[in-house]
Amino acid sequence: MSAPEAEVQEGVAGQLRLAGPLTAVTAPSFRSRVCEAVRDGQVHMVIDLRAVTALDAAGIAALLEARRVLEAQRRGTLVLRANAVVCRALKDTGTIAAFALWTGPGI
Amino acid sequence: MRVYLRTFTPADLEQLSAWVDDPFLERMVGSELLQSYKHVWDKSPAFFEAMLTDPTQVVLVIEAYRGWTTPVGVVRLFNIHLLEGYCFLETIIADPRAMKRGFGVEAGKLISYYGVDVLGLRRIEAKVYEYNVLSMNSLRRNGFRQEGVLRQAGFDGERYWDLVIFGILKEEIEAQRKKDKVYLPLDPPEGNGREPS
Repeated sequence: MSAPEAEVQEGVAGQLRLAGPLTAVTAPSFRSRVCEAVRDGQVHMVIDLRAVTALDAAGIAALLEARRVLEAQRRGTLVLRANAVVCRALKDTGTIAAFALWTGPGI
Repeated sequence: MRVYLRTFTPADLEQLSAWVDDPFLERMVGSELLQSYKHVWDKSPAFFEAMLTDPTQVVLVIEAYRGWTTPVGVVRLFNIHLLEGYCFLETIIADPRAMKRGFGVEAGKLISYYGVDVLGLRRIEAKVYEYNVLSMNSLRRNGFRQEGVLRQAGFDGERYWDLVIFGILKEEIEAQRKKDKVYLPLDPPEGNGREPS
C-alpha cells in the first residue's frame, strides 16, 4: 500500500477527491466525510477515485453506503470518477452497475 | 474473548505454507484458499498481494491470548456479494493444540460482526462436510441454523460425502451479540476485586 490512509482532498462543492488506498483502514473517515457533506446540504456528489491505489470489500461497502445516503435525499445523486484499479474491483464484486461512472473529461 | 483477529502479513505465508500441507486440514476443511495457495500459486509470495487486494474476500489471522505465540488459524468471509448482502464463512483452526477450545467459535463470531457492521451484510452461509462435527457444533453455537444438505457434493479422494449448509441472518447475529458479555472499564469487578462499599 502506498499511503497509510486515503487522503480526502477538497474539491469544488459536492466533490471529494480520494488518494491512496480506500480500504478497511481508511473507509471510516471517508464515510464520515460523506455524511458530513450530506448534513451540510449536499445532494449531488462526485467522488473522484482516480488516485485511489487499492479498493477492498470495506471500501466498496463504504461507496455503496455513500450511494444509499445520497439517494435517500430528494434528487440525490452520486457519480464516481474511477481508474482501472477501481473499475476492476467494482467489476470483480459485481457492483459496477450500481454506480454512475464518469470516465470523460473533467466535470 | 480469548482470541483476536488481525490482518494478514507477508510473514504469515510461512505458517500458511505448513498448513496447506496438513492432510487433516485438507480433509476437514477442504479450503479453496489453502488449495489455491498450494496448487494455483505454488506457494508464491505474490499470493499475499492477490489475497489482500481481492475485494470479494476478507482474510484475517486468528491469534489467541494467554501464552500463544503463533497464530492458531485463519478465518475469512468469501464470495462476498455486497449488493445482495451475503457471503460465505470459513474458519480454519490449524494448530491441533488450539482445537476444542472454542477459538473457532469466537473467531467466527468476530468476523460475522465485521461482516454486518462494516460490510453491511445481512446473511452469512457456511458449508461443512458431514463428518466435521466440530465445525457444525461451532456454527450452531454461533446461532447458525442448518438449512439443507448438498447430497454427495464433497469428495475426499476416496468417497463422496454430503455437505451440510448452514446460514445465519443479520437479526440472528444481533441476537447472538446481545448474549455477549461486554467488560467496560467502568464495570464493577468480577469477584476477584473488592466490591465497592
